[in-house]
Amino acid sequence: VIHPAVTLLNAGLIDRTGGDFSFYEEGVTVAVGRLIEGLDRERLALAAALEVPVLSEPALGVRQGYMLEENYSTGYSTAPGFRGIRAQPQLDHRYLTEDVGYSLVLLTDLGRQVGVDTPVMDAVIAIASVVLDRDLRGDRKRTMSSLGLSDYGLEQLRAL
Amino acid sequence: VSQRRRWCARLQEDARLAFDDDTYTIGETSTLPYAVRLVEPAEIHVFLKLQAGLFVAGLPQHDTEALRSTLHEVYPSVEPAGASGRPRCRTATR
Repeated sequence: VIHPAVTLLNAGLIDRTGGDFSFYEEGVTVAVGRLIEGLDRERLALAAALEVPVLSEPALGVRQGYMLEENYSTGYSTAPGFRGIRAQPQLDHRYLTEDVGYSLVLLTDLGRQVGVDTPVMDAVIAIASVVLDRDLRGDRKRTMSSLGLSDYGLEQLRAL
Repeated sequence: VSQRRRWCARLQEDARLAFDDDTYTIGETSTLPYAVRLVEPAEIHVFLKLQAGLFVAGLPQHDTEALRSTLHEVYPSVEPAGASGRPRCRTATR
């Protein structure tokens, strides 16, 4: 939920500078943090539906030692563990091709199957697809079906 | 045959393992044990070694603890994801 949000909201900068900026320190402003939060709330809603205990991204970042502040607005830009990590050199990069094309596509597919709405994730998939001129959802790189899980109901998924 | 067993069977089929093969435990961690980026060919920069919050999950859940204890020797920050104690893939049949 972090990489796609930061990448899309800094798409012009990545395109123009070849990623010549600090991905977290400079890339995650308060507004960018709001998009991370919007995506993370949907991820947490999916986890709650599956009854899987999952930490919010900032809580996880603090626990892992990346971050000092447990929030979306300044937690990433002030994080010692992210300091110095540069942005990617071009938009066609795993931060979109994998983190959207595999992860978010799967999470929205899961959401449809278990009845959890994911409008922000759907929006990010749509915009990332336009930006890359590639149909990331249509590519179906990782879906409930490709994992053999498309016939599983909520109770069956919880039991895996 | 339960849905879970069928799914284990499919996974083992994709991994080219016999359905009754219990040689391998299947699992995944939630993230990298290090925050690391490639600086140039054959050179990396480690930004952080995770202190905690490196979650590991076995599939089915029963195998999580075995994975955790194995990985813990090298990565003390590893923690079990979710609950464990479910049936194992070894019972999968065609």
